[in-house]
Amino acid sequence: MIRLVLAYLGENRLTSALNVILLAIPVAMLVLLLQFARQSEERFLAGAEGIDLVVGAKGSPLQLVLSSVYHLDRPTGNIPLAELERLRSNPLVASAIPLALGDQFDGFRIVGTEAALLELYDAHLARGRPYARPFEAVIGAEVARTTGARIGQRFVGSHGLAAGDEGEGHEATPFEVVGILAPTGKPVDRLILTSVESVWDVHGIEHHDEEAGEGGHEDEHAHDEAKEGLHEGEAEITAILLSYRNPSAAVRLPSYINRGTNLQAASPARESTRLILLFEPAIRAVGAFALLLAIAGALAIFISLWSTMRSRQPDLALLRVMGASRGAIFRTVLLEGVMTAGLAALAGIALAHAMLWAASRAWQGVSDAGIVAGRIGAGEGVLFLATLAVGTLAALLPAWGVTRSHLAPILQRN
Amino acid sequence: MNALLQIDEVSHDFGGPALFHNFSMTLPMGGQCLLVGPSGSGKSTLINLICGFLKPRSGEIRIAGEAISQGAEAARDAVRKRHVAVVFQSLRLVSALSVAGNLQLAARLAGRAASQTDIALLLDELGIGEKANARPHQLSQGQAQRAAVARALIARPSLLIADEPTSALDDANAARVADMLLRLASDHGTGLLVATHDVRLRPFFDKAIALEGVPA
Repeated sequence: MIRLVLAYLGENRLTSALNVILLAIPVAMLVLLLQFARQSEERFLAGAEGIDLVVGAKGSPLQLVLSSVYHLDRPTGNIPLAELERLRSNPLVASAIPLALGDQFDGFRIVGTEAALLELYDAHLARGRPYARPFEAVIGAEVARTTGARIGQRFVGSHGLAAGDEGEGHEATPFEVVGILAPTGKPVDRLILTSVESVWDVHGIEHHDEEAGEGGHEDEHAHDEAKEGLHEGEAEITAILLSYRNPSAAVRLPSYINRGTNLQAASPARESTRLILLFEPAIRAVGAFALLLAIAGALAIFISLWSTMRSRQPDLALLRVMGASRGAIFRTVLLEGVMTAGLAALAGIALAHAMLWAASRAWQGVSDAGIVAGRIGAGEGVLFLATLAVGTLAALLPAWGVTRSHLAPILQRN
Repeated sequence: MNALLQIDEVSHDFGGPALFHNFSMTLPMGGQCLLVGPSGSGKSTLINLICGFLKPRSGEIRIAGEAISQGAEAARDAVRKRHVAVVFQSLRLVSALSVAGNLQLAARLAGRAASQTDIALLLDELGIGEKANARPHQLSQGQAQRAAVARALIARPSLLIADEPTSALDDANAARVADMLLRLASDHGTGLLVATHDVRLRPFFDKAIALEGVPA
């Protein structure tokens, strides 16, 4: 019977293809939604792992988290270096990792930090060694893949934090790649890591190694000027990633920082949840639209099967004459609906992943958000089964109608 | 020994005047019979009764000793599946399948094993061996008719029923079809019942039954 159904589908190629397309489009939309929702959530959770609190300049807490944890937004400003040591000496703090932002290479951020950042992201060197001297850099796996940078290669950073907003280049202070990280699936894949001192040196900020972390320079620039990261003359950092020493720190430390200092403390977990909640209505709206399309697709299958079955009644009556039971005829019609829906589901899933693949190549933002094609999960399985159910529902009435018809009048008519 | 087809005092109507009243006939195993009558004489109704698509008001029909006029639909379906194949006037080859595909489907539905070789031999026997992979719309009327007969025979039925097999044919072709049906039924040991209004077929059959007073 499967062969017969395939033959019927093949005979009405155009109608079958249109039905498949009608149902594949909403399936693709739902897969895209699933993928975006799941992958961005996973990415956010993985990216914030081990980071209890982010400390930076006053401003939007979401912006602070996005810029310092996920490296997706601009920083809220800079903070005095002295705050780093002050926090490190706080008994509620287990670790404090500085971040100094301001420059980029080919759209990838150059981050002045400490080796502890690699431990935080559980990142390991795939090749080379850690940076040790000024202007040495370790690059993330995605940076290496995209730029083709190799060990020993030199590159010049330029002011700004994203591709397309390159400012002046720092030709006098090129960096050298000394290490390449293995892929982690975390934000560090897209970073170029170097020492905080190197970042200061690039910007002509005076510092003394023995003083680093103990004191800084006064902020001589207006706050808004600092929003693009470090500028000449300042001895500041952009943000600090904190982890708590004990659970009570989660209650005491953020309120102490937010109320008792000029700094801002933001929780990645809370801000990630806020961000996901911000997207939720839009995701629901698109989901509802896709469901409407799915209903339209199911209706198309129903109408098509209904009219096909009317014209195919003599054929099906003949099958009964040749020995097919009513149940077999019912299953044949049902199978046609199910196979159409199955093809639509497969086509929709393939289409969605092809679109994801194309989008991740065409738009940096998509790949920056860590959304990749080909990661098929349980959601697709559920969607596949739901589409089969839609096809079954659409075929039920035509199947029942054909099964109930009496053979004698059909045969006599024909 | 059981008769192939035994119709005993069958009466039937559709709520109006009786189409049959105490109609009886017998066809021995491998026998051949012409059922002749004008349109509306009840030929198609009789075929529907013999195939078990309709239940008679009264009387009994048995095929190879098995009742097909009574009982549940599934039981009647099973008797038909075991014993009967029909060649319709409109032939009704499944247009989505090739000629060989039509034969495979018929064999499968009848629960008979038919290899590619069996199919090829049968099609060769009917002179359309080269059309095995052709689709029905690629056949001439004569080829399509032979394909429909082949499809009926591949199920190895005890009784082959042909409904108006020559209605649209000229004399020469009508004679050719009648010869073919008689020869194939005889060669395959299959009983043959031809229902027609075409009196040209009368000379080809030893036995004929007239419905509604048409002279046999």
